[in-house]
Amino acid sequence: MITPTKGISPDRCLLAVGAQILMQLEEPRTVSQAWARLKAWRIENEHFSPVSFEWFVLALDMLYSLGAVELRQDLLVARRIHAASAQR
Amino acid sequence: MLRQLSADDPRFKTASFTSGMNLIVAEKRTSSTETDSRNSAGKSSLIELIHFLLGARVDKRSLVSDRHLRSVNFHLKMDWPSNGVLTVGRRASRPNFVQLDPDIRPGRQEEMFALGGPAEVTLDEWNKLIEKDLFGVRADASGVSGRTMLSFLMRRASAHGFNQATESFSKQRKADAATNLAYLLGLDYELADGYRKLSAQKATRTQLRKAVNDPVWGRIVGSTADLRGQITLAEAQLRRLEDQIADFQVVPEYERVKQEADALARRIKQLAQDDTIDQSNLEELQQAVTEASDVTVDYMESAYRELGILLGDQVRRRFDDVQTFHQSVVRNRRVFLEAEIESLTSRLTERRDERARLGEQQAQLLRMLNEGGALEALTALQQALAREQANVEALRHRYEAAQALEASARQITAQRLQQQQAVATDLNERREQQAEATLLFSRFARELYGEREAYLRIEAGRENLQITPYIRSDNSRGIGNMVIFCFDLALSVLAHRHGRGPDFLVHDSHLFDGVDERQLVKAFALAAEVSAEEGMQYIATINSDDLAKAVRLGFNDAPFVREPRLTDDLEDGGLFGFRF
Repeated sequence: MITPTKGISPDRCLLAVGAQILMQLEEPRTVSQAWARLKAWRIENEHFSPVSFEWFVLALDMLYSLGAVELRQDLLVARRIHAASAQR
Repeated sequence: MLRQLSADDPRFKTASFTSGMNLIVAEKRTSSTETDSRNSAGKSSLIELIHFLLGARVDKRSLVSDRHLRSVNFHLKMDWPSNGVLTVGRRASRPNFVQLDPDIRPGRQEEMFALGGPAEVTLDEWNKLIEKDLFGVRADASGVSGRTMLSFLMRRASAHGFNQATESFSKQRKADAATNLAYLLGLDYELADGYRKLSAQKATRTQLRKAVNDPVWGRIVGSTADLRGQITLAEAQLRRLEDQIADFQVVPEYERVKQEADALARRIKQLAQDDTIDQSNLEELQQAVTEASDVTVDYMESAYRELGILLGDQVRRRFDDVQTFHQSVVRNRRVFLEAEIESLTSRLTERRDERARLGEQQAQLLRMLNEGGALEALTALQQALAREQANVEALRHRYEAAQALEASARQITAQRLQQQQAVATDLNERREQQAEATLLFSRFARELYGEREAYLRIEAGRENLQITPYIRSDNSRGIGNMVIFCFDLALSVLAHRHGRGPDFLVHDSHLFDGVDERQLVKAFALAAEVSAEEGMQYIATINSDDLAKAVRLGFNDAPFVREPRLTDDLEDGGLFGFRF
């Protein structure tokens, strides 16, 4: 689910989707915008396996728990994680 | 008139002839044994050689084809009607050419620098000259042949020319012989030739009939009934093709239109597939919207646990925090879903419209393709039409042939009757010519046999012109020969009188075999008298013992016997001067 498995292709495992979401968050964005941009990006880059809104939220949840994203005044903000602190 | 027969072989005995009566005598010597035959003296060979020089065909069995004679040049000196003396030369090793001296071909004398010397002409040309100059035959006359007529005036023992008066060789076609005799007798030979044509037609018909009955050949012609059926079928096919071509509309760029239609079909299919996917997505989404607004988030815990295992201490947040985050994100979930549903619905509608539009376009293209065709297709159709037309034509020809074949039997019968009627009428109107011939023949017969019933009957038969010389008798062989003698004499006199024949008549000694010596004397006297009277030449070969019998009965042979005297006992006694 988080990493690719038999039933989940590499381009829709949560880590991959999370990375794709992070790419959309070079600016703080609303959830809707992030969701819309993710869909557009996926079509543009020929990632055709279905990613539903639930899945998108799950990926966000994962990013949040990793400390990669947080919600500030209803805007999603990507947070830089220091490699050093990550190794802590 | 024939003057001299010679050869470039010094052993050959040159034979000379004069006008009037000429006798070439073959002697039987006392030293001859029983097995010696006088045939080796060369009497018949003499006549064969004259024929050879006057254009006879040569084959392997011919006298001159003998290996001793092949390369010998023979010469015949003769009077040519318009040119004085002519010398003909020919040898068997070059059978298709003769040497003429001078060159008597028409037009040659008028040439400014004509040399007048010898000329080599083909055998065909020579025979044409003989027909034209000796027999006065028109160039376009059909059925009359100089060779056939010469074989009546110089009957050949080798061809069994003495079997019947009206036959110059055995198994001669009666119509052929009758046409040539009619010419010599001054009758309408072209009319007589009608018989020959009819019998040729009949022979062809018989052959064809046989061919039709043959299982293999029969298929080529076929019966009229079969052919009629085939023609009907072929014509129907022809009409169908013609209609197709008449209705054919050429679609320009047929191939391109077809590709376009194919592309449309593919696109429509793709749209249908996309619809199926979107439709199922839509259903899912709609279901999700109608579901209880607050979804369970149990799975989050498991997901979170997994995350902790996978990423260990990289997980910074506590589960509770994450849950709070989650709640706030999905707060507007319904809004998102509805936007999603809307976009799906609008995509579906768009596609439906596009499908309708494409469908219409496709229908139009397909209609066009269906009604018309490419130019190539039209060309192919026209080719098929041409083939079918040729086929029908061929069938019709065969039908006509088969019909003609079936009708020809009746036609030939009808034409025979017409022919017979025409000849009968013609003969009726030619009383004089007939009378001249009949009177001449019966005069000759009376000279030989006294007051005996003798006539020359000419009548229109069913299958040919019947010419029957008749002298009443007890049917002995001797009298048969004298019938031929009288007939030939009458024939040559009539022909010569009216410019339809040469001035010579040649008889082989075979004609006199078994003839009563009294008739022999009378025959010789008659020949001498008539040839002098008519300014003609009569040449006969005779055995010395036959001649001796005639002399005993008072025939004076002295003025008529010519060189050479042939004998059969010595090596060099014969005509050729050597034995072979």
